[in-house]
Amino acid sequence: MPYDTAARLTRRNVLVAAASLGPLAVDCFLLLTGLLAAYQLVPAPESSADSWRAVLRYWRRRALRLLPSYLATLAVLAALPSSPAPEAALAHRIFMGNCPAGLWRNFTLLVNFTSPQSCGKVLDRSWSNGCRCCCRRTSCAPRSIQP
Amino acid sequence: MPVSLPSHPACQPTGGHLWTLSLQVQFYAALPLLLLALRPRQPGFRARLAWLLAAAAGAGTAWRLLLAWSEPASVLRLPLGDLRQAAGLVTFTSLLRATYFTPAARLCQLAVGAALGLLLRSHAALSWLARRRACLAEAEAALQATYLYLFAAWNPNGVPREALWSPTASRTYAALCYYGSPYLSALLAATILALMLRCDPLHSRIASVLSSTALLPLANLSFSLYLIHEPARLWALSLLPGALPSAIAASPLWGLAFLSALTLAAAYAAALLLHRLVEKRF
Repeated sequence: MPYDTAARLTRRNVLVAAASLGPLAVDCFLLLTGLLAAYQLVPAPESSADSWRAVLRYWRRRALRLLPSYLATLAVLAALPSSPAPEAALAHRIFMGNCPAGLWRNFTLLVNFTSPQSCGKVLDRSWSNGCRCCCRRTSCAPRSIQP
Repeated sequence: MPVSLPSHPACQPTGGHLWTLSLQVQFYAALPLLLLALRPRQPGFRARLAWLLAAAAGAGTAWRLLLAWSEPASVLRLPLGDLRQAAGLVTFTSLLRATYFTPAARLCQLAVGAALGLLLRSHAALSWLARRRACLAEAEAALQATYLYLFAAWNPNGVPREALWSPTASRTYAALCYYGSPYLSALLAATILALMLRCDPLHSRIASVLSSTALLPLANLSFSLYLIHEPARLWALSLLPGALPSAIAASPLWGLAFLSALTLAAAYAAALLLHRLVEKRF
């Protein structure tokens, strides 16, 4: 889709504008992360005779809640095949082109540090505005391709 | 579909939509240690924590300003242009680097959230707020009106031939109003509080809908959905080759509707599987 069309739709169509507000949901999600963590955690070390034990219990609960599904998802990412359909192959190359070789970054749970450098996630500003990658400070040399 | 790809070898995607989980885990690891350092069994613990969270919110904001001002003025110029062009892509990258991924860039947001969690543990603070529901609703309405104004007048997503903002305006917007900013943190915190306190009939109604048991199954799937939605979308696109380009060619809006429906269906199906096979067992 031409950039002009996509940009105007994103700004002037309520539905498209709403569809481009995903990052606002991320903000909400992270705010709730802080809220729930503090809400759950503050009373425990106050009332427990052994504060460390309360903290260890919290970490254990969090790990059991998050890590099994996360590891299963990494397994899916590692196994996800590339598709012969051009649009799916293109999306695969952009979103997950380094799987499984780059999965170690995900295993370290530091992907928010390496993602801007290694282009883990392409953030869509508008749904059909083309696809974009992020790259290092001075070495961004994009090239247009026509699939 | 024209696409921009960086040629730098470091640009190697690895399912990086999971970056928020990394940030969450770092926060979950750090917060308990912070609480222990504040001596939770000594008097004044919550006051010390409140001060620390306020300081963290201030430090996070200062850090965003510092990062925004450390980007070259010629690069961080909003609004964003065509990201398929090198200039637009470099600006976008600069904006993300200053505001988006790192814990420091999100520190203010996490601190505001934690402060809200602390507040919800205080009966005195809640009672004080409950007596001022109208004020809270007005503050929230003002923040939301500001958001609409910014969306209309200072939208960082540009349209063709739109004039660039000044470097100072661009940096100020990036640090204080873009995603992860103190402004959006305040807006979201006020909205959450207004909903929880049911500040007026509208908030009360929305809160009732959001707490409806009918939404519980969807809420239970939310974590699995977050994890699996990107692979599921790719999987769905590969099952229907050519469908998305045809839909976009027919009508851009139809393309959006098609992609949204396809993504939702595939993502919920995959999330249901992941929830049942893995998440539910732990």
